[in-house]
Amino acid sequence: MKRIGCSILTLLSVLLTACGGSGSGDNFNSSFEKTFTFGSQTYICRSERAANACGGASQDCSACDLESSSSSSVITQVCAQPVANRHRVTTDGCVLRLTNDTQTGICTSEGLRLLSGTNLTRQQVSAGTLFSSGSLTVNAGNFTETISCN
Amino acid sequence: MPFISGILCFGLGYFVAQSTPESVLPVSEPHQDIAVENFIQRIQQKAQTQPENSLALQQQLKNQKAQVNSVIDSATTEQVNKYLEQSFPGYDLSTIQNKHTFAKRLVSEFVDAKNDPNEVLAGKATVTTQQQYAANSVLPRQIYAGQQLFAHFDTLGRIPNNEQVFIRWSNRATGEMLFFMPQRVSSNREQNWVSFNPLKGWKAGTYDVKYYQLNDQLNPIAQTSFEIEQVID
Repeated sequence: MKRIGCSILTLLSVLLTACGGSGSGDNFNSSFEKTFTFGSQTYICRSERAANACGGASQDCSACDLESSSSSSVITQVCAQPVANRHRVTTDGCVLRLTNDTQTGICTSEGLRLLSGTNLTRQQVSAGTLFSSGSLTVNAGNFTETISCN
Repeated sequence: MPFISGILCFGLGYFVAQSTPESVLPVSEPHQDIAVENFIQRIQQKAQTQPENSLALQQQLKNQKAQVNSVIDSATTEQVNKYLEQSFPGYDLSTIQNKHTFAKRLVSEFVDAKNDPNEVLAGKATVTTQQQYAANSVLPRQIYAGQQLFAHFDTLGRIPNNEQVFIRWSNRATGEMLFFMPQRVSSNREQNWVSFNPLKGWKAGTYDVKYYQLNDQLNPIAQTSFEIEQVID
């Protein structure tokens, strides 16, 4: 038994590396909430990924709410289509005129968020359906449309 | 490969150790190390090319659960501590008094990754497509393969609200573990969520989610099952 215990100890570092340790992928998130203040601006981050991005070296607080900010402003800008059927969503949010549907999207440090319809605020869209990969391909009959963050 | 949890690594350690039977002629340590490294490489390659291998390993660990528990018992507290800290970096494990008990509970929940529908738990859980919790929210019939789903849970004031919980997402039909990790949540409210989507995308089927307190016994908080009828690729 001692031999087995020792084997485990010897292997630990290799095994943990092999298995990716605690799960370093980007396909999960949680409702951990944290507030950050940079200068005169205070951000409320309502998920762990948002908090990690805001509190990290890049200080990317795009997925957090800025206190008394523009989060209540309605998104009206239409998303650019640099290539036909490829829609580019911005961090400010934009309206996606798809073939069979109209959605409003926003890109944050968490990924791509989509909410069906128009006349929606940043705050509303920030609680929309999340695609952590940052992109989505939609079938539109015999062709596809791609929605992605820059 | 985030869905392969730390406990799988522990299991691998045991598996590797067991794959060198007592009856085999003794080999020098450098040779043993090489054999072990080769074995790990093979496991890694298989896990990357054949994801069903994690399920096979789960099954193997299930068959050898008693031996795995013996291995945990034989390890020193320091060894188990070190393993847990490396497996779950960034999490505060000080609330776990008996690390051996906790490790064995992890193994138990890892190999039997299915909800018991008859188990009555104090909290409530539900899976939706939205981050905002709505009591009567129903999961749509169609889900995008890469869509994050939100497992909400409510302690209903019956369980202490802690900043860390443990969560399991698993495939009900196969028992395959998809996600098995501690997560940080907000301790100042009773309702929280953990969102997840498998790297290889959702497949139609029934899934289980279970929340646990991050303590020695890994006491359950809430559980739920949900069905994905159709996946939009």
